[in-house]
Amino acid sequence: MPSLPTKSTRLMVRLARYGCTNRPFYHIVVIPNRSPRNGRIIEQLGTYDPMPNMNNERLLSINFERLRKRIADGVFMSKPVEQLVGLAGFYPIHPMSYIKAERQRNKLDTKQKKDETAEES
Amino acid sequence: MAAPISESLISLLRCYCKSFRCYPIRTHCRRYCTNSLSKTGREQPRARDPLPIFLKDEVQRLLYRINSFDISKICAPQKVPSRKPHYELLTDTQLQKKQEEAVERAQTRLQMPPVMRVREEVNPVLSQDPELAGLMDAKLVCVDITYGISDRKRHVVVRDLDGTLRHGTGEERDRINQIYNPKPGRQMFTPRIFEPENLEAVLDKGWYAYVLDWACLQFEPDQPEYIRVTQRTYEHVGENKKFDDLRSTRHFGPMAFYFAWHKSLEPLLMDMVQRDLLSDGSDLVHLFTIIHPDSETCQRIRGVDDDLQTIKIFCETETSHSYKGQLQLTIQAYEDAQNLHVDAA
Repeated sequence: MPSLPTKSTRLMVRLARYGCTNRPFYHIVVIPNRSPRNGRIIEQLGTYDPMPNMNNERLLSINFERLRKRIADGVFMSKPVEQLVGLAGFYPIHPMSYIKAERQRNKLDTKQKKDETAEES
Repeated sequence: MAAPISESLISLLRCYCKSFRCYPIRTHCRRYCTNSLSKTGREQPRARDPLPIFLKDEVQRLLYRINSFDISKICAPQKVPSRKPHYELLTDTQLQKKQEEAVERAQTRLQMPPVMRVREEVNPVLSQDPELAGLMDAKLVCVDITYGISDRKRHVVVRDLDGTLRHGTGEERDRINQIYNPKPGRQMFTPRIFEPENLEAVLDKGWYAYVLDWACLQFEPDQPEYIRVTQRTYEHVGENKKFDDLRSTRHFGPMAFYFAWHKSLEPLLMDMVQRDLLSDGSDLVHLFTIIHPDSETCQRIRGVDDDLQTIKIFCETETSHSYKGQLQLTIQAYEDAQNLHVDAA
């Protein structure tokens, strides 16, 4: 009889999508690993609004006191949360942030070069 | 009670407030924090900080004393949602207790907003990371929403487009605090009444207490807008000599403090002499000497007990040339009136 895959029950800090169609809004929640995205949460730690407001800002709010406590208890973080917390200066910058930034810069450079050659010709 | 307050009750309450004036009235009011604000002053060439002087017990006592306590003005009828009248049957002692409570409630309404200088804009850069440039097309603002932190201590950090991590500016902090910790009655965007041209229109109508109350609600006391609006209002009051409009409101003390700070006490002093409020006038001069301890008045006033004499000394030493004649005339008129009164008696 094949053994069943182990279902880990570790806790995660991750984003739960709220808001509505074409208007994402995320709660930062503590939730068991295997629960559905918007499943029953253990604790909400903050919010993240990915759409820039009229001052061109994305707003991230985190209850750092509770987050510290959860980290001390051995919680895991999803990659998007790790990146956000890194950009906020709480964690070291996530390596993926650097890679993404470099890719973005390269993309812009190639686009600029293309435009220049198009203008010259 | 649904019926208007009778004359006898008002006179009774006036007796109360006279007895209160002997004691430090501040005990009835919420105390503003003095530690964190006044002791963080960095040694930089900035304008002199009025807050430590404003918070001195002596100054607070003087300011509360020169503000008259007119309970019929403090507790004037206000527009409130309609509700059923409430009747109670009380014994004399219970009634007296209720009246004392009413006076204490009125005292709390007179609590003065603090006089502060414009806040310092220090935005130390936390880290610079040029490698992150191009990652985002919008700034990332991160707020610490830990329960129980005051808005002044809350961490607000901003990751700029070029990868710099820095603390939020004052304007950003105000905005973010209002989003995550909204104050009831405060608006997200500055109301248009506070724009300079609209403000002038409202001040010309004489709605001083209205503007100042709203500014107290909308702004923090060290916000540049608050200081601009209140100072313009005080100046307008001074130009039009409408000091009586602010008596028995929480703004009279800060206004007097403003005039004493900027050495333009004369109009207010003349108003007090004309209204036969000599003790208030001498209190004002004493306030002036506390704020400007190296002035000539300070030396000459020592040991002088008489109110009129104090004001005369101030008139001789400190008054600017344009006001000297007016103030002297006012004092002269007051003395003549007193002499007439004595002669008639």
